Amino acid sequence: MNKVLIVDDSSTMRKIIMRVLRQADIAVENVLEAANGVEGMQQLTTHPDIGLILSDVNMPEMNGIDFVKAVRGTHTKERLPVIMVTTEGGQAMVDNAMAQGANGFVCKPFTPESIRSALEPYVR
Amino acid sequence: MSAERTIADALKAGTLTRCERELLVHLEAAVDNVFTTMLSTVCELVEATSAEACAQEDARLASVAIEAIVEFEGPTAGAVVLRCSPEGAADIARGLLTLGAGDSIELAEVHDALGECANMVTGAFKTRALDPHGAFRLTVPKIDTHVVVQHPHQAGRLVYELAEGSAAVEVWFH
Repeated sequence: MNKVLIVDDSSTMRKIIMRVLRQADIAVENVLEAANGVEGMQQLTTHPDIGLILSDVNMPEMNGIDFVKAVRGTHTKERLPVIMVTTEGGQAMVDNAMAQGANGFVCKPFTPESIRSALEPYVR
Repeated sequence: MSAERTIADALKAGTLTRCERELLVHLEAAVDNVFTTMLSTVCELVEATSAEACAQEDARLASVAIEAIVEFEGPTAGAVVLRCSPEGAADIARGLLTLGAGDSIELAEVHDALGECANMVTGAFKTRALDPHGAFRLTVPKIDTHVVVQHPHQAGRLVYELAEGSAAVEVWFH
């Protein structure tokens, strides 16, 4: 795994996810952060070697659904997996996110194990 | 005392209607889910309060200074509000960030953590209590710091004692 991008408007949640990645022994070279979809797209331009994205849904500027749609304009699901990490875990939201190109879904609050399970297929 | 017992006692005492009880049971389950899974802090439900009681002054929350509000919109509209004493807000923030009691924390970090905590509680409450009734959208959390003003349409409140300070979680309907 090259780089992981965490997109969440809460700095607290970004720190929690970083901690969980470490606890789950997920070996990543570098973790990058963005506070919304717009910043996320900027990070993708600056760091073309990002290999995995974890994104919130409910964010200002550009929400997670629009973000994953934008990512899929340039990257396939195989090339750049996007896992949604969100409080909005209703089936309609899950279906919408998957239809827009998300690879997986983790509901907040989450355990380290649920993050590890969601990321396992994509972490080499 | 267990959370279920606190709510049941309030119901028996005639201080909660069945509707308020149902709402508060969902809210308590949402809070418990978030606090148990994500926070490394002690949290005990000490009171379940009806809409009527919410309208009265609560001495325990007189010093409340920080609140995080997440609004929901759908077939009906309202908000879930996490209101804390400054000590309670810092305790929640430290719990989320797994910091020790003596570790320093910036006010901006406390505000962000409180907002994220309210966001998770509202999401869990939405899944349990709102989603069965239609499609709802949540706003991003808003932080406010002021002297407590009673909302005219509070539907219920849960009061918690934390390791440091106290917190209340309320449901409002607009």
